[in-house]
Amino acid sequence: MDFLNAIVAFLNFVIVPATAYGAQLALGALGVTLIYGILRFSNFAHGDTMAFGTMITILATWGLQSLGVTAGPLPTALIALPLGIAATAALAVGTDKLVYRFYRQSKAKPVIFVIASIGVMFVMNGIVRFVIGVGDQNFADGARFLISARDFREMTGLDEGLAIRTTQAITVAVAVLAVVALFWFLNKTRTGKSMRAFSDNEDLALLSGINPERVVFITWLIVARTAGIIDKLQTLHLFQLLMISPAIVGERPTPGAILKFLIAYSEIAVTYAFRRWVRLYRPRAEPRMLQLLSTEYKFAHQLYDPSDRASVQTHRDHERKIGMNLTLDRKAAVLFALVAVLYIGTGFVQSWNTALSILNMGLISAIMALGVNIQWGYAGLFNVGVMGFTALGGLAAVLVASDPVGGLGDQAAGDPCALMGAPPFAPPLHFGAR
Amino acid sequence: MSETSPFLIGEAMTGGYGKGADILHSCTIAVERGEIAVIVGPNGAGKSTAMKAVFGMLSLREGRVVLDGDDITALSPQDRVVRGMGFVPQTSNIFTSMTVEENLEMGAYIRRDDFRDTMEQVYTLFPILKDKRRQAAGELSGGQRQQVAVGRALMTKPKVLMLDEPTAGVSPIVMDELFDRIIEVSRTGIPILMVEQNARQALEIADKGFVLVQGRNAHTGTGKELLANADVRRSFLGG
Repeated sequence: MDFLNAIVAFLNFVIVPATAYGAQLALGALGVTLIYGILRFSNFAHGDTMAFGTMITILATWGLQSLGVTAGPLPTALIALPLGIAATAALAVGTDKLVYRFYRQSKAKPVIFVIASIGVMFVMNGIVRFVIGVGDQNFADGARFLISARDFREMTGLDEGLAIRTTQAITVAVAVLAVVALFWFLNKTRTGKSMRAFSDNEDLALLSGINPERVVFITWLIVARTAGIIDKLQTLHLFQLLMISPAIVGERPTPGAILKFLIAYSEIAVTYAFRRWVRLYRPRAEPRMLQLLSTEYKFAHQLYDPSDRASVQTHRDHERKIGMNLTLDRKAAVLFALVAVLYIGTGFVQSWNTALSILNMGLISAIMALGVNIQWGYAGLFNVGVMGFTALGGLAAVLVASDPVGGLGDQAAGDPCALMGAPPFAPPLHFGAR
Repeated sequence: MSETSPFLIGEAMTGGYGKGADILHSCTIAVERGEIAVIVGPNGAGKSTAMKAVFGMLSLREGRVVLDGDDITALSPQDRVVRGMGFVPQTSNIFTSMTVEENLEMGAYIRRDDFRDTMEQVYTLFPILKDKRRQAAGELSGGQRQQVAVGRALMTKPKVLMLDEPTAGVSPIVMDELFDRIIEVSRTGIPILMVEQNARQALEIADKGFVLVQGRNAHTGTGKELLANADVRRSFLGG
């Protein structure tokens, strides 16, 4: 019995939420890798494109709810989804026409696209901020649970409960459908094959009569589909989605998306352990502390991500061309280990409070180093200005992470953050059932 | 146009890449119906450039290109493909991550009709491709890749096939086999214009040869004439 209870507890607190969360990441990764594979740049604006789709879906859901339209036990958001997808498609294609096409026609280098996409990111972020803000929006309806913890206990007679939310089940189902559909599209249809051909050898694709503008158009449409779907099935997660995009530079389209599942599992397994501690330590800051932890976990992943390493092998030629390679040599690994020991030592000897601030400082430096490194690798530019950017981000992060004066999403704290383009909100985490 | 004019001719072409200096100087390249024409010459003679000029990949300052009686000088390479020109570049001429069959399908991209007959013809010409049709083209050997590249270009049912150094980088045995295949393609009635480094073998199978030197026509004649020409033998064929 204890053995069964243990398995159920693990399912309930790790496997179920991590699968739903991994499905979200996979949908996000799908879009970003598609852009990377076919249009050849890392689209930093992808997270905000998703947020835009989410916003439209939320607004449409509210509209439907006020008209009294529902989908019975399913969330009303499902009915609103097509509108979200359509709006996101229009946004994506419009952005391409307004921004990216110019650079494509002038045959700009990938790094130019990346920088342009950062600009696009700020604009889209601004749109979402103006229209709906970045706080938690509640638009959930329909049946809350596919199976609730209490029902499960009564059904099985076990001590531990297993809860599966309707949104979790839908998210996973949608992600599986999206991946299968994309596989089928890319491998079986004439248009899908032409997109792969364009990604493989652009010049030869031209010679074969493949129209690049059409390929680009379809790519954005599909990206919009995955972006629109994403989520509003759970809640606004855009900060995290933004974080994954740099991490998947260089991945092959679909396998990379699937590997992201593994990361979600490990991330939840690692951060969940801190949940209770954070709750006792700083109750009001809990969601943000967890956010910080999971974000930092992703940064650590970025340094040594199995999917990235695999892609470095397969994309070696391309990587060499753009002068970027992910490596972690033995010396650096030893250094990491040493820092970890010192950090844990500080926790025991002095206080975990101090250790946490040291960890934050260290990670901030690491992020800065990462930024400088990437610029050096891509552009051969040693950019002292990275410090300025990071400092701004740090300021914003403090505003986000410190206890707000007037509650979450407080206007006074939000405005300066908005000025700096940092998200003054705490995306909620769905770690485990509360 | 009269039956006597060449099927495809780049006439008195002068031009270079972008705004750079002229590489071709009043250079003329032509291929007749049902024949094989080769462009040979020393390194840097502008052989590939002349072929690219015929295909529209550089803008001509003077001269014109005529295909089957139509002046196509102003058309883009893509439009020339639609008009019936098949071009096999020297490098990056296959989709390496796609299967052999998908490569052929992409070759037929501009066709909306049923192209299975054409694919069967390609498989008859290159039987090895049929065996490997589910394999990624990038996994094939050099000679097999060239067969995929030629097969891809044949999928549009081109009226003329242009090959840029099809035997570059393959072993002598594979080279002989490729030349045999090219002759077979030519026997199906498609005129072939190709650039070759291996001047002697190329001239042996050529109906017409163009020897270029520094972007100009140095010698023009049938393959046999050029092989017999003392001047040509001394300068390019090693005596």
